[in-house]
Amino acid sequence: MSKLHGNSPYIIFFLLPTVALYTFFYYYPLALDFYYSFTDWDLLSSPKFVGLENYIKLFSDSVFIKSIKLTLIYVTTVLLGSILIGLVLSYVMDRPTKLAALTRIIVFIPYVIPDVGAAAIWTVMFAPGPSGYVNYILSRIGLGTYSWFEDPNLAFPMIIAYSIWKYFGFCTLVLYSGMKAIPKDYIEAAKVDGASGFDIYTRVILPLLRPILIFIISTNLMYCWFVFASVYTLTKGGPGTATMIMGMYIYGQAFESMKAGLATAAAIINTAVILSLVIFLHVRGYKGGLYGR
Amino acid sequence: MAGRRKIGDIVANIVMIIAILSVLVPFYFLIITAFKSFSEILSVPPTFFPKKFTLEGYMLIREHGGDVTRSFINSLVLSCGVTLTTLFFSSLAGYAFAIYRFKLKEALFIAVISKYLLPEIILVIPWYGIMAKLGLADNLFGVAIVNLIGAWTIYYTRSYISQIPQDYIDAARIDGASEPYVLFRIIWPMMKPALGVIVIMNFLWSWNWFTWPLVLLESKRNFTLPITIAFVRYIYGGGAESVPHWGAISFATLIYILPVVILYLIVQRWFVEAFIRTGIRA
Repeated sequence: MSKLHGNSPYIIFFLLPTVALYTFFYYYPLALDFYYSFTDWDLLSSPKFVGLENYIKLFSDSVFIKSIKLTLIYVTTVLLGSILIGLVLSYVMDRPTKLAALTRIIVFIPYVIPDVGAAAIWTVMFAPGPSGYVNYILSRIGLGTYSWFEDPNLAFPMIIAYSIWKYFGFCTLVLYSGMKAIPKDYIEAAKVDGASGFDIYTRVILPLLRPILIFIISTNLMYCWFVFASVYTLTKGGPGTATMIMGMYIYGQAFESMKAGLATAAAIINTAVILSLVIFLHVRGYKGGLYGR
Repeated sequence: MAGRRKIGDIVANIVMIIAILSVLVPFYFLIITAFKSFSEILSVPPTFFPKKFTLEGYMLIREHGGDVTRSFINSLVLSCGVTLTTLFFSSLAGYAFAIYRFKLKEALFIAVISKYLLPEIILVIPWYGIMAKLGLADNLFGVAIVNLIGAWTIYYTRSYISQIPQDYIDAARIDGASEPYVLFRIIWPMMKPALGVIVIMNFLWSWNWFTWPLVLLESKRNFTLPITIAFVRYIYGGGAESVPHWGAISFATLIYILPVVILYLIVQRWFVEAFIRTGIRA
């Protein structure tokens, strides 16, 4: 084992850049966050201390409340939707055909490409008016034309649909690799006992995939809750406040309404809640033997 | 029995074909729109293959003061810069956390890698205040500096180096090798696959980086590609129906995602492994 004394100059030399950078660009900003959340600050002049005012204001701000609701709906439907598609697709593509191999390559592409690029593709595909591609196809089969991301009623469901499209490939491949890891004897044994294909899936495979599902949710929860780049590209939170989900709300308060104090308060509350949830899920995951390697 | 099986196969194939088309069709629309003229884009019915290939999209962005070429270079410089510094400094830190024993090591480790768990938006607001004071607003270096050393990479190098048998390191030390020599000449060559994962992940992540560059960068000549795309997205064309410049958006987007898609198709297996094993997102 390494001796501390002989290597101590190197410990300092190796860790110093990291510790310095993280002190100045991680812990110092975090401390500033807590300070700003108790102030009225417009990003330019010096912050004025206002006590708990921002936190009180937040909960009487109807847009903030709406934003929480939208974000909750967004996160649950996107995670559920992409996991469900992932469950179906991973099961279906578990066969030794060329088509299945091709599917495994192609479905991962939306997940790999950058958010802004993927979102921009959707804005082009769902361009409003009769010259839009999807609109044209729909009108040809008699379903009419829509304004999609510019329609206050459609914009939010469209963002959910887009996000499911962006994530389902990840869920599919994670679940697929999880299914591959299930020992064949389990399934053979169930077959010998006379279980049907459906029974084997719901009673044997699905329970064994549970830790994988927890993994998918816990690793994506924080990102989904604060999803920003895609929403900015698709709708900028509009029309009106129809798609004002949390990342967009905080950004808008800070850099468009110049209420940085309020924005930090919102960021702190949301981060605290979601972080505790993520940690809880991780602990549960460990208990279930998820990382039992 | 055989009949049921056949129906199952057909259903499975249909599901897979739908999944493939749901990915490829949007890409096809993007590619054709990127090269259509503005009038062709607005024609009813839309054309499903460009009548004439143009670079109107590229020119339109220039007319509005944006520059896809310059943004591409900015993105490339930012991504390569951050990837290289992370590779170097996170290796140093990961090595120290894996090999050395010192007081409060685990506490320090958690204090560092916890940054990976937090959303960027919570740091962006104070960062903005700091950069304004440092005179680094609207500066690409100001964008990069906050993430020169990646938290996830430290975590990843530590776990990788921990798996390397201590004997290799001890043997080298007995031969008189210095600690940097051990890390860069003995450990690094042993962790080539991991270094590949680190380079790909950090590059993709910086290529995707949006919130902080959006906040800090103001002049169009300093924009990275995603910021230019977001800017072009909200330029509305003139005329009676004020619509976004779909051609310009498509052209910039194509330039933006093409390198990623090509890279993915070349090292596809590796990519999937890295993403799945780590749960990291680009």
